[in-house]
Amino acid sequence: MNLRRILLYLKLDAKSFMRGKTGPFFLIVFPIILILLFGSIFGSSGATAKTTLVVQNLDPGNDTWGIVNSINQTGLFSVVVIAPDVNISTYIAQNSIDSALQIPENFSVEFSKGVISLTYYSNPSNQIASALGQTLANEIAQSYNSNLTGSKSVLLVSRPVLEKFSKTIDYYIPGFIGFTILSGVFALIYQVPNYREKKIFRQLSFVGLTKSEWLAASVIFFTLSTFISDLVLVGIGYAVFDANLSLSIQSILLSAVVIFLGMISFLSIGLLAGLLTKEENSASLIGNVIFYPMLFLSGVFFPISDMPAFLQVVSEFLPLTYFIKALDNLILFDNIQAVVLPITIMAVIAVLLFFAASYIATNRERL
Amino acid sequence: MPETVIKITDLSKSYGKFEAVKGISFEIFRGEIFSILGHNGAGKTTTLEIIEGQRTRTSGTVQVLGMDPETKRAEISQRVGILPQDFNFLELINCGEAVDFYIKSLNAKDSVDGILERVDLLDKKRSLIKNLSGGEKHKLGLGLALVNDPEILFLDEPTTGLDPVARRSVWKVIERLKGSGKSIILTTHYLEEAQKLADRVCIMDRGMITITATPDEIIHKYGKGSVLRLSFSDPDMKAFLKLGMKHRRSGDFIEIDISTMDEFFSIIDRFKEIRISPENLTLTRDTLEDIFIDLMGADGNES
Repeated sequence: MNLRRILLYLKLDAKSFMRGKTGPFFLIVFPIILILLFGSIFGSSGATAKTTLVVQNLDPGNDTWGIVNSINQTGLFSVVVIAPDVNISTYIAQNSIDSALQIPENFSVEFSKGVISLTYYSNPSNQIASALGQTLANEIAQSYNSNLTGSKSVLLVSRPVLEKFSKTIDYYIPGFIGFTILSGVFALIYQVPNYREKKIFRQLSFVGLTKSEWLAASVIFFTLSTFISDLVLVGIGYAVFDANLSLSIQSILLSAVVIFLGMISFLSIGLLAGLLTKEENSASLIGNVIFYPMLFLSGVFFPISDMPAFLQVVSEFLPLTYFIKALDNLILFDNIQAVVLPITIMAVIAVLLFFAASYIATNRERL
Repeated sequence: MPETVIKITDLSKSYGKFEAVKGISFEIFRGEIFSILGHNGAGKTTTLEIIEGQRTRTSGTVQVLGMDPETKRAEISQRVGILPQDFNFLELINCGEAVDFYIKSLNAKDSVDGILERVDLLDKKRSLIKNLSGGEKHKLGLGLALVNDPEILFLDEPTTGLDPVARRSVWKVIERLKGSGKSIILTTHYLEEAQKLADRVCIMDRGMITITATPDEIIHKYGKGSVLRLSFSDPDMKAFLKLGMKHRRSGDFIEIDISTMDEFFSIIDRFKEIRISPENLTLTRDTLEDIFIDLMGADGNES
């Protein structure tokens, strides 16, 4: 490989990219839209943000109001009490409520027999409300169990894993970065059939630029542009949504390595897919077939632990999974030791994919 | 004896059972423009790409500047320039940037302005490639091919798809290169182009070479000669007929077959002697195109 040729092409490619309409959009505008959109949706919910909880106490006894007071004291819920004669299902539907707790009529009687029965209504698509409700029900049960044994009754509701974070947006930032890296798949999947059709690879070969050098230049260019994208993204996260990440020098440098390795992998995947594509139109289909399953199965937006077991196995084979694991550990948990394994796996995947893509591209006579 | 820069011997190329090139042989000399003619699918581009080292051959030998392009492609590429068919480059790059990229990548001594001037594109230095006309784009491709001051220039159908004006402007640039000592291999299916530019022509048909000669040799050997076509006023016509000169009538016109230019001038002298003035005088000669169509048929089938 000739570094001088790579850098000369890199400069040329960067100019071409910046003069296009779509390039700057995906580099600067798209990450801004992404974080503003998600930040607006999730930015106000989190450990200290209050979730509205409708409570209906059907038990005539006074003891059960202790539960309601305890819930109020957690500070996590904005409790709305509705009268016993209101139909709770209708109320939930009419008021678009995501969380509701119903204390049954015979709660005190059943409790004295050692049976605890509570009904919790939640919107499954609201993961925060759903998780809080589950925790709440468990803690009430635990609290009453403690009462039975005579120990002190304390109602605890689990808080998010990282107590220091005040915004849910923090949890999404590694996913956003993963999303920008994964978009690298699309960068080459369209370019390869386009360059092949216009014989631009052949034209570049007249100055001695090899396919491996072209791929290396693309990796450097897209890594740099992704850094810019991600800086914009994190900057807006801080400026607008008060994000709070573990951005030490060490974590930033290692994140750069992770982004670089991710870029090699996803650009190589894009190149391989582009080689399979005869024309630009079918590139879109192949790109989407690769992009979306990887996006949803790698823990970008949904935790892998929430997936069925067989999908968790599938996720172990996806390079983006290790990318997200590494970034989570670096910029959320500041756990440098935990990134050794994901980075090693990513490096192996990146090297294998780069050489496979370079070899196949080089040995295709008509490219 | 001129120096041979390219020597092809028994070259064949097959794609599965299809034989695109069937055992062709020819030599190209330093400083000449050698044109490969043929219909679409005749094997011109395949032959050219094998010589350039872009494609592998099935059998035969190829020597470019004494080297085999399959094994010495990098060395050869330093000494040749290539304008591929349907030249394209990054569309959002301007002409100056494209030439600059070539100069720096090839460590060439030329300047951006110098190259653009040679192909009449200096005024387009800052124009994006996507905004160039077809002719300008081809001239830029030619300029890029000239960057390393090549000994051999490969021009693969350099004017295909261009309008007549653009075609002539590309010819003008190629004509300027003639005599610069560069060997130029030109594939084309425009017979007029080959006749105007080439020193020697090789006609390919279905993977084989039918003829290799200079355009004049081909016209002389396979053409029907020249025809003098003229008309006279009535009194002059009577005087002409009294001369007893061999001719034929074609409507109001007289046609006289001419073998040499001396014969033409002696006929004109006879007219002057008997004081007759021919009207509408034209001297037509078979073109390479006429002969090509006669030999190959308009649709590519040999007649």
